Amino acid sequence: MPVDGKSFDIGWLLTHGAGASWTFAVSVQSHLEDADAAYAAEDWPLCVESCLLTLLCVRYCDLVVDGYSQRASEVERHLDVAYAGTDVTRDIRGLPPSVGATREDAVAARKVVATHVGRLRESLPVDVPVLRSAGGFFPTVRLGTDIERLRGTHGLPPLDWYQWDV
Amino acid sequence: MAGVQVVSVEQALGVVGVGLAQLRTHAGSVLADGRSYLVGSLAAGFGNRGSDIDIHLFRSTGGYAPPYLMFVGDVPVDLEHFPDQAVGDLLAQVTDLPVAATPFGPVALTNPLSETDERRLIRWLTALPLDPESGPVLPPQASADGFAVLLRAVVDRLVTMVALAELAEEVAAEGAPYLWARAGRLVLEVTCTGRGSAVTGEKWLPARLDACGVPVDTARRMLSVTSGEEFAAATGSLGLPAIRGVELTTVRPDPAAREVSVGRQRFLLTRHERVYPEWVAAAGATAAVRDDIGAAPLLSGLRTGQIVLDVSTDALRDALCR
Repeated sequence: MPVDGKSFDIGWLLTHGAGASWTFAVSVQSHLEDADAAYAAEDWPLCVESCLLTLLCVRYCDLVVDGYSQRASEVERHLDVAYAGTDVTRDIRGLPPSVGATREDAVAARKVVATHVGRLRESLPVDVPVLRSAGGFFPTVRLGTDIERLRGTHGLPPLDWYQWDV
Repeated sequence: MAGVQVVSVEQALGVVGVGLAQLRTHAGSVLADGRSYLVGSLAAGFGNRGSDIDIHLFRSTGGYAPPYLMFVGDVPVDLEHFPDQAVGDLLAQVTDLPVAATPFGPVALTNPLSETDERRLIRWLTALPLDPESGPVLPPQASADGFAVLLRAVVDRLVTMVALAELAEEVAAEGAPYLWARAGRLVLEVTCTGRGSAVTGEKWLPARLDACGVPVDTARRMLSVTSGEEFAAATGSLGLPAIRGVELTTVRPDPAAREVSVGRQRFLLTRHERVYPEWVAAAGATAAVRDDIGAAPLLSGLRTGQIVLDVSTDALRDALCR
């Protein structure tokens, strides 16, 4: 917990905070964009599917914020959703079947996703640009470069950015 | 091959509003050397305006190169280089494996592929050459062998999920309905794969089901099962035999987890960097371990990376060849 308002520990930023931000960029954002594209195409089943994947990535990202590392297997991931008892895992279980989904299903799923993505963003140490976009790619790389530089000045080795994988 | 058949690579790229000439111009010399293929969802006949362009390049010289990202306008393009021999290496793993005939289709009796190679196989089975003279990545006769292996991989996932759901039902906790619904989803994935539909990306399941002619009501029923009884009734209505999980699987300690000492205390440190003062260290047939320690600790150990669950190749072979 912050000791004085909105501050956070530099050690956390340079380890779990960096990992969570990176995971957000490569996983949550990608599925979020897929959901938006599916909604624009009025493909409601695909939109609900993409919302489901976004929420699964949000849950994984929540775990990384708390220090989780390495990829979660399919077994670990779904047992976690089945038993974790958090708001996001409850909402994952509550999504309607994607096949045959309606516009109303898609709208409701996107609303749930927006809530959890907004909450997750608040828990990240930095604002993460959209990695897989022409305007966001290099700013995201810059974030990584700056984090590596700070790690160096704090006596930490280069980060294994690929240890987190959904 | 089920799925929306793409007539040409131009039509596939047209989904994201990019022309082949435009792609070649942006890629410059990158596409000039070796054989280049469109792979992924667009090549498989799926995708929408927000899809990425995935390109695999094969060259006679040089090795694997990590994927890199470029953009054509706002459209991301992922390019990945492979040596020509990568194709032969993959084929050697999947060719002429023994198979069992099942209601889903021929299933390989072993599961030789890593997840990385499985994704490559899926992508190369549906790859579209940017230049028609390049021919397909995989020879046409490799398709049957490839799908038998892909089907085996999904069957393994199905058996695994059924095992988890069976164990969860014994605990009588709230988690079981979700796990049964996931098992129902995997029945649908097995059905699509058995009908010759393969694409990376879980999100394409509704489109695959549609392309394979699976009725919406049938699919919704499978995605909505909440108990072993409902699962058995739904799979039975598809003409499928009973699918057992617990009796076809084994458990063992996660090889990436290790015991560590701090003072006089011992802990288990998992690959997820979590430390447990108490842990599950069971090994053996899942049913025997369940009888020994109980379903709840078993599920807890599996959830936290203390132990892992494997499909028994011998038990599944016996079940498939029965």
